[in-house]
Amino acid sequence: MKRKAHLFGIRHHGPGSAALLKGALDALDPACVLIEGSPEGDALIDFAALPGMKPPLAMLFYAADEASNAIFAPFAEFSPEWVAMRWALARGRPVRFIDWPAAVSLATRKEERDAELAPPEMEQGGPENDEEKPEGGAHQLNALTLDPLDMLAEAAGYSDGEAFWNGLIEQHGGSQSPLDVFAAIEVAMTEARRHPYAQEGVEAAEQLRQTRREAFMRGHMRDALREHAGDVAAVVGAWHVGGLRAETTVAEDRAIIKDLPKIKVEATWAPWSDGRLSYASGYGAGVISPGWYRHLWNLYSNPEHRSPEAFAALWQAQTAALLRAEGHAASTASAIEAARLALGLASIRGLSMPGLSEMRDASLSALCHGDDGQLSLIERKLYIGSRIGEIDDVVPQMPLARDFELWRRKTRLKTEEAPSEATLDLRSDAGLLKSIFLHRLNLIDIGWGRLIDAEAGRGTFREIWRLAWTPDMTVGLAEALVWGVTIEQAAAVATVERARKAEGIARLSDLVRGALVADLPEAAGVCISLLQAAAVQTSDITELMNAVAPLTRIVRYGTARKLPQEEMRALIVALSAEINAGVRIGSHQLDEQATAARTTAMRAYDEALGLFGDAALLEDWRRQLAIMVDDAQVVAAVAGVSLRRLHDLALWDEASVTAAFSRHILGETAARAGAFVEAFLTGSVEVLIQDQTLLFLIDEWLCGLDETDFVESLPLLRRALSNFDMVGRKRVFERIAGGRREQLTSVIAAADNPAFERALPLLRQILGMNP
Amino acid sequence: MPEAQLRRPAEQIYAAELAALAKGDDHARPANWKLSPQAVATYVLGGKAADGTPISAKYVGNRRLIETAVATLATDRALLLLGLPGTAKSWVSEHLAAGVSGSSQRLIQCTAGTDENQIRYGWNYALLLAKGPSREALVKTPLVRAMEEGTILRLEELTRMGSDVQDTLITVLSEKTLPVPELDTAIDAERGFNIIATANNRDKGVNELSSALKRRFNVVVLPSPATLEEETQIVIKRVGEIGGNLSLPPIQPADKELARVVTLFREIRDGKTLNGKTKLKSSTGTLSTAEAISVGVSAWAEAAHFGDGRIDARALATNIVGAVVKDPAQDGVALSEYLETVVRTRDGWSDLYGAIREVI
Repeated sequence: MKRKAHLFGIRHHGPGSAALLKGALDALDPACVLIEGSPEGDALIDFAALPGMKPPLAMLFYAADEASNAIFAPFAEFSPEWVAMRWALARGRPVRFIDWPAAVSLATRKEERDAELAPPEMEQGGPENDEEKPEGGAHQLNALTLDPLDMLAEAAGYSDGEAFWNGLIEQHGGSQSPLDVFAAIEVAMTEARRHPYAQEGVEAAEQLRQTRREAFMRGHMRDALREHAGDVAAVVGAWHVGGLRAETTVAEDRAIIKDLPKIKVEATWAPWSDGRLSYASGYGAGVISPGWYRHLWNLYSNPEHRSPEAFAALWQAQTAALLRAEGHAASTASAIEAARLALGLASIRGLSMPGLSEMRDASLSALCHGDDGQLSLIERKLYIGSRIGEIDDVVPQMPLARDFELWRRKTRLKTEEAPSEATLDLRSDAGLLKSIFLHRLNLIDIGWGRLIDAEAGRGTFREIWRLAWTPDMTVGLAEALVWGVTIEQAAAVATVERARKAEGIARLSDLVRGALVADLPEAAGVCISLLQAAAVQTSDITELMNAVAPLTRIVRYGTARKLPQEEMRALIVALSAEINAGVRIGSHQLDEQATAARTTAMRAYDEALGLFGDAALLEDWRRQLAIMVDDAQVVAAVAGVSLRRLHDLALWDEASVTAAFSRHILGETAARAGAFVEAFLTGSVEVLIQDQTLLFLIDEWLCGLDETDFVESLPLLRRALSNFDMVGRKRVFERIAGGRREQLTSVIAAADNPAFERALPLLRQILGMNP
Repeated sequence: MPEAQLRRPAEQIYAAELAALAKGDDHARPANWKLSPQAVATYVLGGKAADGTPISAKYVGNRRLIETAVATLATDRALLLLGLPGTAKSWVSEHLAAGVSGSSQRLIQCTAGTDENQIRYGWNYALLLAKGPSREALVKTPLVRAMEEGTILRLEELTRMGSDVQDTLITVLSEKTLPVPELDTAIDAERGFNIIATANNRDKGVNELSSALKRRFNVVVLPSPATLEEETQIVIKRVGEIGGNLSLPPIQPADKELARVVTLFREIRDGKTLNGKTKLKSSTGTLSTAEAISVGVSAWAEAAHFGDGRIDARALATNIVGAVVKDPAQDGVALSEYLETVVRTRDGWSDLYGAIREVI
């Protein structure tokens, strides 16, 4: 039986492996191709042959009930698994996956997580880590920190795994057949696995995983051998080759995989990116560099690129083009020299083809004048690449991903990994559409775009977004399926769901705004009524005030979208009525922190109400202000703000203001009086400069204090004045220093009063004017 | 004769190594090269010849840089060695020339006063007046001789000569020929001819490298030694070699003292202590590896002739001060600050503190 089974041990994402595999498949012409990967992906394989499928792509497996429990199996065009799939599809041979089911691996992981027994690296990395170690398609060889073939390459004296493959390919071009090379790999890997050091330091859990996976693979292989008369080719990570050749019985393997947990799994194709392919890797030896691997793959798959000269020239031309795009003078002549130098270096180092390090050294010397700063500018683009995969329209995708794609085309936004900025003009249909799309995505937790212009929320007609797409946002789309099957529906449902759970007026008010800018009027309506209901319940006046201000701005300036005007106005009226009714009682006995928040909120609310333009509300509010000034229980700062508003709006005449002012400071404790003065003065300095009476009142109050109280009130006074700008403070100083002299000569002759002169330096200090 | 020479060229000092390498060299040699590119790289970086003769390392540092340099010469492209002062540019250039052509003697020292005639060719005016323009009346420069022989020409401190004079080299580099319009002829380069230029990129009083010329060079930037250990190793090795060459009286090995000099130089040069915890003023001197080497050699001479045959703090102190304090006002402050904050408190450095304090 074993004679018909051919094991092809490959290096995941290795172009050299892929080329060799293609040769081997051509030579063997197997009846059936088996690939390391989760069998749930079998149904997806057929789509790989479609012309619209452009790698890098990934198969996404996620738990049906919890999409965040997901794994990816990425493929580049140079991945051996991809090559095997396409080979089998082109020849019409059956092809399927033989690794353990994602149903099992996801269930196992869920169990581990639930039991909080997840290995430490998983805990640290969180979901991010999942892409690093995807099942099936990529490095599942964490049994060893190194790719075993990299180790072999090192033993053979090559700088990295790909250079080693290069050598193998060259050999097979000569005398050896690719089948012999794979046979040799099989022997080497089987031997390597026998070495005790191979399993050293491997966690027991990891070993168990390996054992189970290989048991599944052996089972699948037995089935395939039974079903097909011809040869069977199995494409697996080189490490597994030894395990799959192990002599085990059916019963033994069944026992290993008996009673494993399982969950329902969905599988779909998802676009992947170069950046993710090389995730968490540098540019050194033995790592995944999609840009370089793609170049190697071109070499292997295009006969006309086979000569070292063409190979080096293409790469250096690409480097020069990227350098020119960055504004450096990299001429064709220099690119030619770089190619020659790369070949020269390869010959000095005894290589038949220049490797990545020869290419880099040559570019540095001949194209960048030895300046690695220039080279580092383009390294990311050159070595990693910026490709993002595309999926053929025919491929069934999960509904949200499909809707996402429709929207993406409609709005003409490009999915790119490199961050870019987009300025949207909301007056144009196109701009508005983009904005709505991005806002909706944010509501379902897909952070493709981030609104960075804070001003944009204020009803201006411009929004600036920072866009950066990552493939794992596909997982976000899968997660959002719980909310709905279109972006609009999901965003609306998510918003309403959050609103129902939301605690606090501020959060609800945010959600209302969010729903409005995402053009979800129904969701906004629900949020508004929830907000209304919550407003009645709440006793926190500050929160209510803070909610009114942004809502008023929306009503007043609009968001360039349809607005449920009536509901919004009704909401603001309801909230304001609550505030007006409760503000007096609510201003009794606040602690310092609450007072500070309240006074800020009061000013914003007062301004908002003015903008809103409801006369009855405004009148009521102003009546409350007057009452609060006279309510002795209201905290001093709130009274101070109230009086100041009454004064600024000229609702009270000067005499009443002065009277109220003196009531609040004369004969009060220093703390209370100070807080009052601070609250009263905050905002504009004009009041002190213009209103002489108030100035004298403060003067009188300060002069009347005994020493302890005076010292106690100084910091408060200083804090109040520190809010003014330098010019304002200077003017106050001049006003005080000069004012007495000129205008009050009848009272005190300041110039003759040495005590007054002596006090001036202290005044400077209080005003913060000393250097 | 050579024994009396103050400093012998590389190809003489290492004649045995070169011969051993040439004997066992079975790689292809470019025309007129004395060694194959692989053997040149081995000669510079050290290793073993085919017959087992040990080859000493002339350059300690990144192997790939030297390989790039040799590959550049092998592709008949001119090589420009760029770097800070004292990063072994001239040293590498000399050894590359010795390895490739067997001679490092074709050399032009470029200065602000270098004119085109010193690069291109001059005239023997007596002959010119007597017989008129002829090949015999031409006075050959090292460039012309190198072209005729097919050997390496070394240009030291390329950027010290004016950009217009630098441009004289353009035709030579791109077309490997030197027109002599007076005779309506041209001097063509033999195979094997090439140029190694050195230039430092941060010095005062240098000209811009003409961009037309820059395109015709492959540039290799020689970095300062990456680690303390590497730099110390270089200094100890070179001090030994130079001292031996100068026939200084032998003294006790002073590796530890030299290591201190390197540490001190690195710390002041980088403006921080090795552990990165203390910030320091830096001096106007470059305090390069080359200067550390000369401090070592001077201290050796002083110790051998005037001291007790042992490099100690006292012998080092004057030389260190001389190297660090180039600008009396600024560098004096930097050095005293360094003395007070670092040297004084460092274990086992108290002798150095006292000795330097005495000098400044």
